[in-house]
Amino acid sequence: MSENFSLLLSGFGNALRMENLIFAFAGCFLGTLVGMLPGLGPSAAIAILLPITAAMDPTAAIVMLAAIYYGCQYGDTITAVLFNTPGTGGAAMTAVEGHMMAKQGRAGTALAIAAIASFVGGTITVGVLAMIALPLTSLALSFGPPEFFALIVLSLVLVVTLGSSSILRGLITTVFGLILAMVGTDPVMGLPRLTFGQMHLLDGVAFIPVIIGLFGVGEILKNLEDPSNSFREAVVSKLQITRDDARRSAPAIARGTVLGFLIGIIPGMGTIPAAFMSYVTEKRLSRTPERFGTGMIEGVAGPESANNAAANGALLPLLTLGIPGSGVVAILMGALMMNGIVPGPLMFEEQSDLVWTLIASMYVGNVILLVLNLPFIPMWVSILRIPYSFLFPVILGFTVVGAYSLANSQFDLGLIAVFGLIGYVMRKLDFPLVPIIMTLILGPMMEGGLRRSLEMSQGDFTIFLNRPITAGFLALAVVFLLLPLVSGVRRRLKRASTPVSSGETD
Amino acid sequence: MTSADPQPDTGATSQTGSGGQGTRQVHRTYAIAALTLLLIAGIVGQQAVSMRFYTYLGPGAGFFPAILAGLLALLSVSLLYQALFRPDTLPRVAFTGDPRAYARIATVLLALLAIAVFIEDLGFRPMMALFFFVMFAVLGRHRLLLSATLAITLTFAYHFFFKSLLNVPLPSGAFGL
Amino acid sequence: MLCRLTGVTIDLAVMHMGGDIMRNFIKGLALAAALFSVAPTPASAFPEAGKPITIIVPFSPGGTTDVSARVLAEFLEPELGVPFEVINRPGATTQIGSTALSQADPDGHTLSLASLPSLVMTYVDEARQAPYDRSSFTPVAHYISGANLLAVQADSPYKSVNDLIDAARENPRTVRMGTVGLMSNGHLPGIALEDTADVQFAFVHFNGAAPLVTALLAGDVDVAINGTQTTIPHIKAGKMRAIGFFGDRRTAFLPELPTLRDQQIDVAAPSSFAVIGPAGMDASTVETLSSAIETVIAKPEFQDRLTALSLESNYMTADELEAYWADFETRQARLIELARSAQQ
Repeated sequence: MSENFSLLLSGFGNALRMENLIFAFAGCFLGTLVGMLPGLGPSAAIAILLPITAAMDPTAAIVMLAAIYYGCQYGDTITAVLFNTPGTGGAAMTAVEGHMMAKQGRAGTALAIAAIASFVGGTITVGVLAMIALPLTSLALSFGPPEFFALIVLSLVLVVTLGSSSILRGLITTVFGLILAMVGTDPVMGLPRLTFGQMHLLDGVAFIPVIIGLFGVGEILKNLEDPSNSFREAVVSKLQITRDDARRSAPAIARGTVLGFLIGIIPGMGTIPAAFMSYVTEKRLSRTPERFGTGMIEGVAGPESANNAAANGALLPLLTLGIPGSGVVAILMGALMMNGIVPGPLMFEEQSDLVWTLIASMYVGNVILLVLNLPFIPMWVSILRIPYSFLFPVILGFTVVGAYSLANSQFDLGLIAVFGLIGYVMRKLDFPLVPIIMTLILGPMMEGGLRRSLEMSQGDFTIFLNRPITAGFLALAVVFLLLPLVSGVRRRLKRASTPVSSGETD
Repeated sequence: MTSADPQPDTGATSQTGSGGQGTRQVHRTYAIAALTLLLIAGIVGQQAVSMRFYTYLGPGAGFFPAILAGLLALLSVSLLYQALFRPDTLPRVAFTGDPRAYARIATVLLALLAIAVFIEDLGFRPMMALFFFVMFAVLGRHRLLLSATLAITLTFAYHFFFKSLLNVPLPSGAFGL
Repeated sequence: MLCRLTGVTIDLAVMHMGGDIMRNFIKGLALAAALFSVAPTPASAFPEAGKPITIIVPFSPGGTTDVSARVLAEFLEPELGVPFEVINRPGATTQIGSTALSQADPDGHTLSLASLPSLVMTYVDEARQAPYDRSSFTPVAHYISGANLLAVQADSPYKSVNDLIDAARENPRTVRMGTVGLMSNGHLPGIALEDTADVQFAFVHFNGAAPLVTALLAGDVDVAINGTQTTIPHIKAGKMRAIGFFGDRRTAFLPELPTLRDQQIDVAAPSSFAVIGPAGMDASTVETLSSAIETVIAKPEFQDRLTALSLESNYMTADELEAYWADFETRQARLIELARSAQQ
């Protein structure tokens, strides 16, 4: 441990050299910029900016790539809060509460708390990663297909019981999302399912166009009903974190960091379930769960810290096993390999210089982003002052480029329009949007995990009971499913006598 | 609410008038939604029947689709019931009553679909210039000359930023634009 | 996840695109002067001067197919004297990119780098309704050969492929064999092995190489059919052992690893990357392209670049590729049929 510490110090020595700081700064700026554009997430940012780093020396390249990786995580929060257009799935939860805060004129506060939460989630987990990476590896390995399946089932139960202004409409959205998730190639026969002869659906309904459509385009369409006052309240935003905000955010950030990191370690989980789990946890622990969806600061702080902590957690299997924990990390891994770092079991021994520089530069990158972002928040918020007739076309233009460039696919552009309409109708009829996002991610994971587990056991279902982690998650899922049925039904019955008159929940 | 003048309380959260008119609209909108969902459930169910429900290793390809189709059918019937017989429990749908609002929404959707269909044949720049022009002229109701200038400038800026700086491949179309 | 059905699944970075950004930056400035100028395209012999050649890559950027296409494009550009563009059209196991190619103008300016196993699978499997078959394309040149290997944990009782077969014969459907995906280029070699040795494995299909490697390290599967690139680091670290190679000859990256044929098992399931074009290309155009590719592949500096990517070139002329493709298709069709019947 003390040896690690001195290695980390020398890593900081590398990361803090002047030229490397400049690259870190440039990476943070570019990453934030690209992350802000809907559809262009961290994967696209690293892939796009990779050629620039190819010409640099390895240390500088690593510093810059780490900065880009983090910059994106900050950037997509900005559009999520301001325009309800999350650039990636990870920011979708932030959009829910953050955009409601923006509508109440608290966009600055939401962005500030998001930046701070990201910073805390990012830096603490970098420290954990540096100090106890190797022991944590066994945790990643203990997650086989059955454990994975059980955790997904638990997440799905949480989606179902997340609740909204109406249980019925929440359930309908969940089932609709799961049906969308069934589209593609089935994991049993490998044959097309619900694709209706459309080859663009063989890989399933593309996720990013769906969130851009549901959230981004749907939001714009709704604002077009009466565009003159769409962002009016947000403009008067102040960057102010009250004592109450801080008191409510701090525990949420702490929980989000731990939860996000643990979920991020599991290969294949990624940032979206992490942010979602944190949101659900905050809602469950809150004394006023019914106010979630109206701009609760815990719903921004928790998911944002979880999001960044998970992004770090996903690096753990990469650094210790050479296994990229998520699609983004896979591209980062390619970038590292270009620069002569071969991530894998031998990396800590053979290339410890570069590894510790990487870890130190993540820390530096987070500090730069915090310093860079807090002063810029008023500037981002002032974007909302641009008249809608200029702003909307520009945002729509970005969504078009973002969605097209994902796979050079016209079909994805069509998806944006279709899901824009669906998002608009769902907003009008007060259907919650989040269950679709979550089920679209979790559905295929659940079915695939179940199939894989049963392939391992050759059809024997006791595989889910013999493995302690699996059995634990499944038991928890049953508890969460039954709890609200028992207590909730009683409460709802009591409340049913007074008519529901909720207005907005998007 | 038909006026285009900015009025303080015509926000999207406003509720439509009380009484029979509003209730009937609520009931009709949700009934249509429920029937649409029922149709989806039917299609999925019909597809699921043609797939294996169970295999020797567990659930087959049709297992989850069949269950989900059944669930969706059940839920949409519940929604239909709620819409027809207990519309007062549903939230009021806020209609603006301004036909121009829906014209704007339709314009954006059609423009997006047009991009999806034509972008590869026409090329990125002509298609986006056209898109921006329509957006500025219809949504912003700017003068045609201003709209055209803005559209061309913006198209150029996008192309420069994405294609030239960020190296994002953009379609060039039949005319090489 | 990026290229699930190519045998070698690592998400290698896009290498050496370094010059592109600067070049495009300058190109962008030049374009500023002539925003809507139409490029002059007089009809002439192939390649038309100034008209770019587009290589469609049917996978996402950063995968093996993408990287090998970009290296090839970089070297072909000075050879043919026209600019090259690499366009990624990922999705549906190459079906989207292949459809785009089959509908392109056969003037030699639109080509694709095809992963033969994936391409053949998409049209042999009728349920996928691919709007093309072999006759929709023109073979140009075979470019790269590779194959999967059988990997086990370092302390596994299986020392050779025959140990594996014996275990599977004794207790059918108990040896858990991990693949990178159902009906993938990792699954079908396993089917070929089952068929030849007349045994049954318990296949576990993952979603790409990363979860498969994790599962083997954790002991959730007994053996994995995986690409060389993602396995070699773990072999070097002493965590895994390779017991057999599916190629028709040994690989230079693991020269001590015997092929299956070396172990008296008559199975070979090599995978190929080949340059192909739409049907109806001129014989002279094909000849120009194919010989340019041959020249490039013979260059030592090109070989160095491939070696750095753990790839091995294997040039074939258009005619040789055509024969190879037809033969490959027959074998692949049989394996897909076997895989399907095993699921019933």
